[in-house]
Amino acid sequence: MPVSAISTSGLTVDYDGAEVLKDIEFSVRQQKLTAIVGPNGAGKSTLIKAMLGLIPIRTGSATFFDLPLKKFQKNISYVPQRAQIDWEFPASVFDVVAMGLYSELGLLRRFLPKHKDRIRNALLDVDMADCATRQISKLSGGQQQRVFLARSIVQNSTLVLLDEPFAGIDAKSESVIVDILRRQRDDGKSIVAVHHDLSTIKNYFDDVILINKSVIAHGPVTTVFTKENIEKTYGVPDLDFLTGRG
Amino acid sequence: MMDVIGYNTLLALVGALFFGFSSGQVGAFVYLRKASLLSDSLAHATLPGLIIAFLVSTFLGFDERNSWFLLLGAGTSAVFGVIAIQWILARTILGFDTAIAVVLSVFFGLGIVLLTGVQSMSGVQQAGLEDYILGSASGMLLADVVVIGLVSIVSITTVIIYRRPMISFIFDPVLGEMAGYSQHKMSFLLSILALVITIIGLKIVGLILVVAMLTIPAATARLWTDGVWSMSLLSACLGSLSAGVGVVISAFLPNLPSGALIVVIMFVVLTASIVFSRFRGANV
Repeated sequence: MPVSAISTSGLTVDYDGAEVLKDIEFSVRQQKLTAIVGPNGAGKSTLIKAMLGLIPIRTGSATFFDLPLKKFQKNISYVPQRAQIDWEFPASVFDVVAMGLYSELGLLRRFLPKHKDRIRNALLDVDMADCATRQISKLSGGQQQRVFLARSIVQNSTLVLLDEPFAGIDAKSESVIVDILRRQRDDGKSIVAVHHDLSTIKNYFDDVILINKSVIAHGPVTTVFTKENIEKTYGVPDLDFLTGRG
Repeated sequence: MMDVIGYNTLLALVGALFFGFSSGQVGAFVYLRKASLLSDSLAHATLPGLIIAFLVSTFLGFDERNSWFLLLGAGTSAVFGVIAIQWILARTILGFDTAIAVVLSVFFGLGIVLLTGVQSMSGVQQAGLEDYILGSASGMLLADVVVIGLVSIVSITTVIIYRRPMISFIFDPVLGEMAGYSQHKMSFLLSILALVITIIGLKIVGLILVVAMLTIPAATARLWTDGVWSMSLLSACLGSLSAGVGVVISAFLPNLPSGALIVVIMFVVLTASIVFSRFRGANV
């Protein structure tokens, strides 16, 4: 069996004295599109932040391709929730995608023509090449999300983590973004996204992790994303989407 | 040139040009980080340490114009101010703005009490202390200007070297984290730069108004530019120009504190920019 892209064991996180995540155990398969799904307050974003070392873990650990975070973090790209970004920041679309190369270039190495080509190609990939010089404050929600995806393409990371990539964007952008994620997967990347729309899981994702403070189930969508597991995760029998309402 | 403006003014001008440039450059990042008020509380928190250092140096028999010792006291005091803000935030449910306002006013009030005490003491030659409160560029010595110049060069170089991690830290902290620059480290670096700039600016602009050097040039530059690098460069040039012009004018009007004059000049430039800029940065 190939090495897991992510593997956690006994991950427990406290916040203000309360257990937010308890004994989280799962593995993420390489080169798959994996969704992290659960109700509001289930700890989805917290899980990603804990795995990335951004908030303290009480017990347990996460490894990436069998390596600890510190040895692997330069191969991770993270696409934040749009709401967490200050879109008035003085930067063009090109500038934001260029940030994807900061890690590779280090402190002082200059942007060469080959780097600029990579940035332009990534913008072509997400269908944003025409907007390269536009200020990020002037973009729609879907365009903002695509700029961040272009940045993660430029980073050329093995593992891409996204926090709610489809939150608050139009249908056209959503399908463009799904296409981009599928292409990245087919190029050999492993992709994990926090996701909230149960109706699109079967279409968009290969694997799913169902969590509600602890892991309810994880594995291929076809075997794990069952009525029973969803009920266990959400605790409500409102499952109309499975019969086609969504 | 020396014949026209004199040695003291030339010294002050050189100091002001260096300080204006470094403060404008750091100010751009302070502005983007939305930390202007934090810098202001830092500046006000320098006062008690400044006066205690003054008292200590007087009793130890140092020359009271020995500015490095006073600046050391000012810096120590400001660090205590930051610790106090962090302590309030960690121990209470009070918000950031409240913590800043409390620390700013309490430290400044304490400083004024100490200052009044010093002024009422007989036998203490306190001339020069006011220079640090409202700024008096003309009172600068060669040693002051050397310190300002060296610290400015170090600060400018640091910002140039760490511009990418600082941009990541302010715009998208996780990007910086994954590249190996923790938010904690970058926040510390930016605070240290703001502190150091505040300290070297005390003599030129004074502690009440030094926050203007970290704020107004950056705000003005933001109205004209849409990129971080161009913004920080323009902010640095505007800071340098305003400080230089302010110092030269104050040489001819010795009763006017140089700090206030510099701030008025920056205000004129900001107002003109609000009127004439193409509003690109302002997103109108």
